[in-house]
Amino acid sequence: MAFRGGRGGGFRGGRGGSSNGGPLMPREFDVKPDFGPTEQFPDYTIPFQDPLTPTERIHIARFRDHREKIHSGPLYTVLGKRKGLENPFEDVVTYSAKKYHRQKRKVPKLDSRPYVLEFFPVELWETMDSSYAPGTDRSVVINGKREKKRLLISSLNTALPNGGLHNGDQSDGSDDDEEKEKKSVLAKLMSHKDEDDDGLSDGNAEAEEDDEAEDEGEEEDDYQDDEDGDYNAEQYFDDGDGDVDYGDDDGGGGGAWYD
Amino acid sequence: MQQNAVELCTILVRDTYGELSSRVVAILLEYGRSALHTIVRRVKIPEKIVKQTLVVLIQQHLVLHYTHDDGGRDTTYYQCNWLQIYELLHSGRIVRTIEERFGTDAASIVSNFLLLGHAKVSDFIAAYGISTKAKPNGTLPNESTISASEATGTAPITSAVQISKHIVTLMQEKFLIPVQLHHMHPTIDTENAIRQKVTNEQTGITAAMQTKMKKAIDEKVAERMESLSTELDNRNFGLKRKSDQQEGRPRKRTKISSAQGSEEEEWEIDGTIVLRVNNAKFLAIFRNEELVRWVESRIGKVTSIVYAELLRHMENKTTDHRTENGLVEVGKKPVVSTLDVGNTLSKDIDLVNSIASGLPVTNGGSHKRHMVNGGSDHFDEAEDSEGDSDDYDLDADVEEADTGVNGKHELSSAAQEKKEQLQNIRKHLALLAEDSNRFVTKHDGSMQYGGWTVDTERLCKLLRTRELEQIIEERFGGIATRLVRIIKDRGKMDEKGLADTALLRQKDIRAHLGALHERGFIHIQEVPKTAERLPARTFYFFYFDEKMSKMAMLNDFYKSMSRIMQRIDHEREVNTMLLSKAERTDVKGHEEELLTKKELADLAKWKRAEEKLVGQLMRIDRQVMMFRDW
Repeated sequence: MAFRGGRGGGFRGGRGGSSNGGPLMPREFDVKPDFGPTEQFPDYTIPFQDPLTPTERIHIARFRDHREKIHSGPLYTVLGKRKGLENPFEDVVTYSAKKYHRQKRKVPKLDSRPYVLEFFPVELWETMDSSYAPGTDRSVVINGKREKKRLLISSLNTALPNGGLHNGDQSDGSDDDEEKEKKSVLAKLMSHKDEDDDGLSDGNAEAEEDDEAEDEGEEEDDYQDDEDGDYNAEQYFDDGDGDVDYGDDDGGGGGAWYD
Repeated sequence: MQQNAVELCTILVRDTYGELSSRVVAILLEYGRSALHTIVRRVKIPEKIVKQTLVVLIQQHLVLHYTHDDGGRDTTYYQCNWLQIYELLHSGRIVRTIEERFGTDAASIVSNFLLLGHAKVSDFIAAYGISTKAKPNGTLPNESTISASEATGTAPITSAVQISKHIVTLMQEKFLIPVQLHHMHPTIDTENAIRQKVTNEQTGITAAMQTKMKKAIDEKVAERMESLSTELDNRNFGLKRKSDQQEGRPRKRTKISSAQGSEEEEWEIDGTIVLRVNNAKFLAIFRNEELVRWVESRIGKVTSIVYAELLRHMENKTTDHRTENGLVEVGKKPVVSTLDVGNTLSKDIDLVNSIASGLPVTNGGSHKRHMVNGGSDHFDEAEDSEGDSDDYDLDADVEEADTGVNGKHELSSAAQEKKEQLQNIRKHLALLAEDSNRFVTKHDGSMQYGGWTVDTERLCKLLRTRELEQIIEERFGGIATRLVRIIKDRGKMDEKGLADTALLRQKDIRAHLGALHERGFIHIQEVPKTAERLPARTFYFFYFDEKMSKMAMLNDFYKSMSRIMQRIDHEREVNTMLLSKAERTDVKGHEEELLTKKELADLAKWKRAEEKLVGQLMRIDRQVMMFRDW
C-alpha cells in the first residue's frame, strides 16, 4: 500500500518539475521496495506500563472479587479433560483433591433459584423447572416449590487493595508493594473463609446441604449421560481410591509436589 | 461485529461463566442467530446441557431470544448480545461506583443483581433473609451478610425496609431498571412484531394501498418503539406511592436536585417488578469521570471537583440510551444552576485559593463575553465581586430565593458564606466555559447565579480526536500526526498538496502516509484522469474517515484485550499447582502456616502479575468505551 502511494506521488512530483505536454514516460520509482526477508525479531522498545493508580487497583480488586463469586456460584462450569487426554500423573483424583478442592461443575446448576419464566422461551421452561415437564399439573407444583427456592445472595467484600487506605496518600513504592499485596490477598482470602463458615452455620444450612446433595446427584448423572463408554477410566481410579487409602500419603507429602 | 470482538467475547465468557457457556456463545457469535437444534448440532454438546447453558446466558442477558409464531409451529431463535458480554468487564467498576456514592449496602445490592442477571424484587428481598412481611425468623439467614461485613468493618443490612429503601434510591437514579419482555428480544424482532401489528390494524387495505401507507406505518412503528423506552424514563416507573398511614408519619426524604414536588413523597417498590442493572447509566458515569479527568489535567483539581458535581446533577436529569452509535441523550439538554452545585458541593473544598486572583480573572471576564454571547449580567458581577454595587444585586438574588423579603444588608453570616461560595463556584464554572474546549456552556436564562449546560456529544468528539492523535503520535511520530491533522482539516488532498501544506518534502512524508494507510488511519481515493486508469495518470487523494479509522482502532483494541486475557490464562496455567493448592479449602485463610515461603512469594507474584494485566485491560477498556460507546 505504501508502495502504491509512492508511485502516485512520484508522478505528481514529475509534473510539478517538467513543463506540460510530452508523452508520459513511466518514471522511475523513488521508493525501492525491499522484498528480502525481514528480521524475525526486530528491535522493539517495549512499552512500560504506568503504575496502577489506587482507584484502578480498587476496580481490579472488585472485578476479581466479582469474578470469584461467579466462579464459586452455580453458573460457572469447567469441562473436564477428554477421556484419555488426562495427565496420568497429575490428573488422578486423589483423596485430598476430592476433599479439599472446590468441586468443579460440569453443567450449570439451575434449580437453585426462582426464575421469571415469562422472560424465557417456552422450550426452556422444562429445563428450568422440572414441574414444566409435559404431563404435570403446573400451577399447584409451582406454588409448592416456589417457597423453597431462594436467590443466592453473597456479601460484598469491601477490602481495599492498598491496605485499607482510601486515597493514594502513601507512596506506592515497590518494596512495600509486596507486603501490601500479601496483606490484601490474605484479607481477601480471610473474608472468603468467613463466608464459607457462615454458609454452614446459618439457618440456611439444611437447605444448602440439600442443594449440595442434589448437586452431587446431578453431577453423577452427567457422568452417566455423557460418557457411557464401556471402559470408564475414571470409575476405575475412583474405585481404586476407595480401596487403597492414598489420602494420608498425599496429605503428608503434598508439599513436595509444589516445590 | 468484528472478528477480534468475537474472540474477545468468547474469552470473556469463558473467563466469567466457564467453558460450557463460552462454547455456546462462540457458536452463536460465529453463526449468528440460530435455533436450538442448530446450536446443538454445531456445538456438539447434548441438547439437555445446551438448554441449561442457554438458560444461564439468557438469565445474564448475554443471549436474546425470540419465538416466531409461524403457522402454529413455533421456532425460537437465539442471538448473542455481544455488547452485554463486553459489559462483564465493567463489573468491578460498577460495584465500586455504587460503593462510593451510596455506601457498601447499596453496592452489595448492585453486586448481587449483577450476579443474578435479573431478579424479581420480592424474591430478592426475601433472599436477603427477610420477607417483606417481616417474618419472625427473618434475621437468621441474614447472618452471613452480617458477619461477612463485620469482618470488613461495615454496617450490615438488617431489615427489609433498608433494602427496599436502597433499591428505591437506585431505581430513581436509574442504576437499576425494570426488565420488560421486549428487553429479552432482539430489537429488530420487537420492531417487526410491532410493524406486523400496525399493518394488521389497517384493515381492508389492498396491497396497492399498503405501499402508499408505508410511510404512515413507519411513523407509527417508530412511535411505538419510542414509547417502549420512554416509559422507563419516567423517574418513578415501577414504584408506587407509599401511603402515609403505613409509616405512621410521613418522613421527608432528603433528596438532592430537581425542584419537583414529588421529591418529598415516599415511594415504595412494586414487588412484582423485575430489576436489572442499567449498564447505559454506568457508561454515562464513566464518560463523565473521563471528562472530569480531562478537566483536572487541563485546568486543575478543584475546578474538576466542581465540574464533577455539575456533571452529577446533569446525569440525574437525563437518561441516556444506548444505541448503535453510542450513548444518546433523550430529551432536551438539562440546565443545572450554580445554586444546585452549591447545594451539594462539600464545604471543605477550598474554592478560593485554587484560582489565581486578580488579573487572570478579570481578563477572563472580558474574554468570556465573546464566548458566551453576552447578555449575562450575573456573570460579570461575579468576575469583579469586590464592588459594593455588585453585592447589592447578589444580595437581592439570595433574598429572593430564601425568603422573598426585602432586607438587603441584613444577611446572616451563613448566608454570606453561602453567597461567597456560590460566587466562587461560578468563577470555576466560568473557567470551564472559557476553556477552548468549552467544558460547559452558559445557559441564557433567568437562573440565579446562572445556569449551565454541557454538550457531552461535542466534548466526547474532542476527546476522541485527542486520543486518536495521541495514539498516532505514539505509533508513527509527530510528522504523521501533523499529516493526519492536515488531512482532517482540508479534506481530500493529494501528496503534493499535502507536502506543501505540511512544509515538508514529498519524499519525507511518503513513508508516513504509507504507514498510516496500512494501519487504516487514512484512506486513498483514486481518481483516474483518463479512461485507461494508468497508475501514472491517476490522482491519489488521501482522506480521513473517522468511522473507518475508529473501526480499525477498535479492532486493534479488541485484539490486544484478547491477548491480555490469553496471557492471564497462560500465567494461570503456569501456576496451576500453586493456585490449586492455595484454593484448597483447608489452606484458604491459613496461607502463612501452610504454604512455604517460596509459595507465598509466588502467590503474591502471580496476584501482582494478574493485577497488572487486568489493569491494562481496564485501560484499553477506557479507550474502547471512548471510541464505541460515548
